[in-house]
Amino acid sequence: MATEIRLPQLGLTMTEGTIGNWLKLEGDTIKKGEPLVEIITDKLTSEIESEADGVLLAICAHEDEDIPVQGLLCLVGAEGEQINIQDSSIKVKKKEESEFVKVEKKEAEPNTVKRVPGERIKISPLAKKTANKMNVDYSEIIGSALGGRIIQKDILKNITNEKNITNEKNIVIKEKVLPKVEERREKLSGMRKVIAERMLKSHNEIPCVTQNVKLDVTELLEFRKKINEGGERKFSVNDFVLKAVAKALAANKHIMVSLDGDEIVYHEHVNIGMAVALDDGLIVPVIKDADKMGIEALSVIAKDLAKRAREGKLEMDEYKGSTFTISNIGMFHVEAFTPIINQPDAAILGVCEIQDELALDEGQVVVRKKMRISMTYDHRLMNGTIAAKFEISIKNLLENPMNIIL
Amino acid sequence: MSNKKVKVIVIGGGPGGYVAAIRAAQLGGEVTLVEKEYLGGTCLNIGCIPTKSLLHTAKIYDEAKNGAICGVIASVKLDFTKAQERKEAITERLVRGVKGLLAANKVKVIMGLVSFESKDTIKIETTKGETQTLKFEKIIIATGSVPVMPRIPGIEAKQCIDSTGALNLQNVPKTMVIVGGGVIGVEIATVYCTLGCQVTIVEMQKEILPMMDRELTKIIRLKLTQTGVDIYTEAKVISIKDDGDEAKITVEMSDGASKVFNCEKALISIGRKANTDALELHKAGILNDRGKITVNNKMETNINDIYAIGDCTGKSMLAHVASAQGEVAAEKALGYDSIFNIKTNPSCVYTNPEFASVGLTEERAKEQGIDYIVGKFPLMANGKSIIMGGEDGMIKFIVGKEYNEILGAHIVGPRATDLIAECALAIALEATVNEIVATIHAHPTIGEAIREAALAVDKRAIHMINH
Repeated sequence: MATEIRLPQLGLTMTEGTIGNWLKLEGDTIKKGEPLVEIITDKLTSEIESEADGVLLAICAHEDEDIPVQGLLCLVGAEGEQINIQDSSIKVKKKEESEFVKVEKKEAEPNTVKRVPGERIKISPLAKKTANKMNVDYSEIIGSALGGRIIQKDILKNITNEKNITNEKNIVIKEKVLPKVEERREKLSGMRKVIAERMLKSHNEIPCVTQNVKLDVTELLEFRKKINEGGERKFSVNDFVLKAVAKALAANKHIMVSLDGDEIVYHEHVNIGMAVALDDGLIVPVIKDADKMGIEALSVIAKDLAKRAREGKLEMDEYKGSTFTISNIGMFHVEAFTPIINQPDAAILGVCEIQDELALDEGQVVVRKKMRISMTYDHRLMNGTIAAKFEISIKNLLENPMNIIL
Repeated sequence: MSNKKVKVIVIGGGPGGYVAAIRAAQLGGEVTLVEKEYLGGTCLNIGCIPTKSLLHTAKIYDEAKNGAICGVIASVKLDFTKAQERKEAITERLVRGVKGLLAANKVKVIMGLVSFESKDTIKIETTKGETQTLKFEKIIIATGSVPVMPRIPGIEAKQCIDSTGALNLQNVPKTMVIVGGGVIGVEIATVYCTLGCQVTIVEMQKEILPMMDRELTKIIRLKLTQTGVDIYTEAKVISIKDDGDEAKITVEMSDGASKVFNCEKALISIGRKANTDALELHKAGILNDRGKITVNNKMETNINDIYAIGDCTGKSMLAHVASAQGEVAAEKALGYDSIFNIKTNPSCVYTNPEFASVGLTEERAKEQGIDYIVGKFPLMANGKSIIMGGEDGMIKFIVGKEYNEILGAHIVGPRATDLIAECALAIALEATVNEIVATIHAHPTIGEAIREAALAVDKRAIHMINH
């Protein structure tokens, strides 16, 4: 009896996942615990492991398909075992959850394409008998055997109660001879794919404006130096920025809103998302209730989240629920930029490079440390003056650093 | 746009390697094949071909000796030297053929030994003594297998030979003990017992030819016994002693008792192992299980651009499997999509009568919990078999209960190894019993018994009483 491998619930709020790359192919020998397939939820890619030893008999959910939790991913069983899908609960599934369906395309040949009426359908005797027994209309199927011939497993995969075998994508018939490609191509997948989708969505939906405000952080740097000299913990400039922003947000809760349809949602909690760059993407772990913790706690949490984000060890709940986001790329010498809002927040604060600037102080030329903050805000939810005032409150805190920790 | 040809290196010139090389060349690759000893590998030189050549000699000897029943009265003499000469001539001819094919396909052949330096570099030590190091683009490993010598005390005795030794004997020994009743052991037993040697087979498992269908194996065992071969199963060799001219083989029998056999030669044929030690796989990081290279069904190893096929992957050690895999690897290396499917792989045993099989045995079907029906037809009811003296044979189909699709086919009888192709094709096409029945089979042939066995599934064979 084949073992059904189903999509587990990986996080408290998870309801579905998208199938990423299959790490094993049909026919491969599997050992219990071996990763079979990648599942993408929001931006995290997880690997689903096999629960049994055996051979991967059938892949029931394909790349890019959205599968609900507990949806059937694949079957693992003994080599040559006949898959009797009647025994599994697939047929019992509700009509909306059409997570199976696609004709296996791994063995080189095409899937479903409209046939020319009257064209002879190539189908094996076994497949024909199976189709007749299970009431499957195979006239639209192009099989996975040589020349598009339909074999039994193509029928088994197309078992469905209603007539509509959906396959919206226009799948091009793959010829046996693959053309040789010159440019390197890689399918958009995993985290990169999710980022691409979210960035586009944010960019398209939000009429945004970015305002740059220059801060004098000379005092801040001195302050930080003194504190670090004296204490055990070494604070970064970012820790101070985090605390200052948290404090500013607590006093300016009108910045923490979201647009849901045609309703404005007012958020109570200062949950600051911290953008962390990864090798192959970007993730935003969230510091919950950042205003309620002292700078030391904030520093510890920020460091831990950043570390685990880079190691890919964040829990699903740790990168959701932000009400404001900070993106600090000052270490890359960026003077000013236009960060993209991390939906559903209304604004995002970009933190830029600290530069030396000459200034006059009572007739003397002195060097001051200046840093810009670039705030992008959703102009549907707030206007320039609101944003500017908020930035000024941050400016005031950072230019009078003692106030940050008081 | 580059017209650059894909450079493929094939290590090993046996049925896996040379087929892969030719296929790769057909697909436009620039192919180099490196072989350490002889083209044609084990198959042509010390395996399939020499064995079947000697088996043919044995067959003719047997038919001539027993021809009186057909009205042919001959006094028969065996010139074993001549038999060996013919064997060698055939091998030579085929090896030349392979050379010619490789040349025609513009495959460059280097005689030398390959080892890996890293995952993209190999070292070749040619037979002339030169060493070259080169970076490769794509490489297909087809280094085959070698006989396993078990750790039995006394195995170094001079009377102990492996299959290569058995095939190169210059005289038919008086007595021979064969340790291991698999395909090789049983075929060599057939050669020598037919030519007058007193053969004893000692097999550790419950039955000789353990992977074949048990019911039909019993027929083979009976025939061997009738020819004078003593067969002991569930028997284990404990020790071997060089006793001058002969060796003394001590065996623990199935009932626990100890028995000693004397023999002029002891063939050790307990199995073969992947021949990958010299490759230094670890230098390239190639995943392997104690020397057996790990591959998927596209013949890919864990390292990009490195493929492995045939016996060196440690599974189904058969020449035709290596060749089929060679084609897949060549296609993959040249950028095409290809998968190796073992479902239609036939197993052939060249005993007398021949024994061939494809798909599931009854034992495997039971193990997998498959609902099956059996259709059997005895060759004693088949005209051609009677004419050819092969009436002890049988054809057996294992068929799915629900749809009657062919799951397995097993044949004992004359020409079984040729007839099995029809059944392999049936499995490839997902044919059911109906398709075999719908196909007219010529008469008088042994092949028509295949159709009768298919009819027997539905209990409607014409030429026997259906039970």
